[in-house]
Amino acid sequence: MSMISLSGIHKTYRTKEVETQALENVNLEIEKGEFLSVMGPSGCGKSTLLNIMGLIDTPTSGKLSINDYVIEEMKDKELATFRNKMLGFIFQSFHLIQSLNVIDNVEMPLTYRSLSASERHRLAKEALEKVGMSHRLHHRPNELSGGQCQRVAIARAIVGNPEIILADEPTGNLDSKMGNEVMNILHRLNKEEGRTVVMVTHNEEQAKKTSRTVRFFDGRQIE
Amino acid sequence: MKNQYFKRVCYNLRQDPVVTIVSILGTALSIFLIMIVVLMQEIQILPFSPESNRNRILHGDCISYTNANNHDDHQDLSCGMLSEATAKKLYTSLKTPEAVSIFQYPPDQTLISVYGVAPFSADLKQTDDSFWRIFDFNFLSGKAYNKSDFNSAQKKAVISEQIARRLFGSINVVGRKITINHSPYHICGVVREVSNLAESAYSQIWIPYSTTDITDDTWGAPELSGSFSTAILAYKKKDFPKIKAEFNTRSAAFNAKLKAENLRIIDQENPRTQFEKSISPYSNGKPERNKFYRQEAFILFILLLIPAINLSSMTQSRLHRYMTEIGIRRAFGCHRSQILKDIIIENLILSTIAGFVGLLLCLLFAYFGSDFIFTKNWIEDMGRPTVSISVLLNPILFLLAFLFCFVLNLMSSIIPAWQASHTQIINAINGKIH
Ligand SMILES: Nc1ncnc2c1ncn2[C@@H]1O[C@H](COP(=O)(O)OP(=O)(O)O)[C@@H](O)[C@H]1O
Ligand SMILES: [Mg+2]
Repeated sequence: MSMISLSGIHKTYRTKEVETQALENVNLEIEKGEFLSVMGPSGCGKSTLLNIMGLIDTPTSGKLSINDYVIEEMKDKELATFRNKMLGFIFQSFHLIQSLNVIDNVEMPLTYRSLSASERHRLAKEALEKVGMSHRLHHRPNELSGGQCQRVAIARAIVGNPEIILADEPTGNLDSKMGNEVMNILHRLNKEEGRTVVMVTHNEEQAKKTSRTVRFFDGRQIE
Repeated sequence: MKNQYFKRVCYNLRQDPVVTIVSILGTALSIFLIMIVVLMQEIQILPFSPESNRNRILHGDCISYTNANNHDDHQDLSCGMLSEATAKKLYTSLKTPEAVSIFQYPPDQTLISVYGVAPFSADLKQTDDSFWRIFDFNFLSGKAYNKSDFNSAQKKAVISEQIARRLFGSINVVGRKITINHSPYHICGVVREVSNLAESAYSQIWIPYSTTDITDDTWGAPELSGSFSTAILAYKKKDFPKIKAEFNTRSAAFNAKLKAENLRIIDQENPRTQFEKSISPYSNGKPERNKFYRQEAFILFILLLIPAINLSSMTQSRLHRYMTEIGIRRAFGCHRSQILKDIIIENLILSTIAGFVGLLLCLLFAYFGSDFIFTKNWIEDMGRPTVSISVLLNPILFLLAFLFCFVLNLMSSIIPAWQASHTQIINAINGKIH
């Protein structure tokens, strides 16, 4: 059985005037330990796909299962636990919590587990060491560069030791040097720690280095 | 974890000072208004000197009677204060209480003078000696008249500090002579000024009623009514039912005798607790607790609802700024009930701060503006409704203020919090509610 399995996924956005078919009959199997890149022009539904896999958006129809759990059968509390334990999300615009400093941002996912404060602190520091940010524990997000923010966001995504990392254009807001650093971290997490990574990207170079690439056009998977 | 709430409250304050301060002020003013309403009621019940024993005092004041064969309690022939004889039969003869006092109510304005000072009017209350045992006056000099003074009709007077200063320019005036209603008295004690909010104890001059002919001043078939009220001090509050039961046997016996005159006294649930008295001041009916609770609940509800509606839109606008954070937290495993709890606790911190400000405003206003708030136009005496600090620091008021904050907070944050926690996560991350 695959790690992530989507079958017949549709997503339609309805606003007052228009109806947008963001995803049309998407069928996709992602194996444990894969590094999958998702490509396609802007507006083709890549983010929608990732959000559905990350359980932060719901498909209009279709079946999604992760690690053999059928998502639509789960309640809010179970979903929350699932997100907390299984998934780590990395956003294009980082989405760090501005009111918290670096270490508190990284500890945040752990506050929803029953861990002691010292244990949380230890794990968060460990995650920050992996991304080379352990020297900035008490800085606020607005005191960091974009590349540093994204590294903190990666630390937040991996601190809970999730099996799956979902990254939506993680280098989209970074220059190429910082982008490469971030890519190196993601590859390390995939190769050395065996995490499954799904990444949306516009960069062919980056896509080439991943184990598989799927392409989308207008809500449909074309490759 | 806990200090995260405070961190976020502080962060909010800095991010959105206008909205936050306006909603704190809004809450503060609402709590201020509500607490003024509450205080106007509580001031009639909470103990303070010289009525520090309010918790264990029962009041027997008015008496209403009707024809013996009339069974409608709402149709009375007459109602009024008690004559000495009635007070003695119904109240002073009770065995259960620690003490019972008969005293004139309301006080009379009387002309007083000393040699060399132009005569002026002051409030005079005629009492027995037990009066001084039930009410804890603060004697600045001298002491009260005692039982033997009363029994032998000694012309002794206790006067207030203010009267002493006006007459003699000093408070060390024990033994000095004063003319009260053209009759000479000796001053035996000087007490600290009494607020006329202490209705039973209040006066400016107190004398034994045995020294005047006030007891002759009666009316109603066989001298039922007069100028007196009674205060009954129980050993403990628990004795109240026993005292009421004992009173009922007295009143039944009294009625049996009255039957000869074709009269009966109407049951008005006498004697009354301080609370029962406060909701039916000197009226000739039973204390209507339910009506009182209904009215009070209605007023408080309206006073909470209006600010709650306003505050809830403020909460919503504050939450808007916050939606991204809520979305991110949920994306990393925070569940809805936690979000709901976070929002409500955070708001509670804000509204508790606001409530404290509101309560403080209320207490300051009550202390310095007591004439404005508490003056009762149905009682014409020369006193002032000063409020003692001990009343204002009563924990009950703090508890009530917190309770109202809590309710106001729930009313104003539950809907926005619910909406925020039920927004689709991706929409929340993108800053939308819904
Ligand atoms: N919340 C939304 N409401 C309405 N339409 C949306 C919403 N989110 C995305 N869409 C639409 O769905 C389509 C796919 O969007 P998205 O998944 O963000 O594309 P991509 O990430 O590939 O650029 C686009 O046409 C976009 O306009
Ligand atoms: Mg996108």
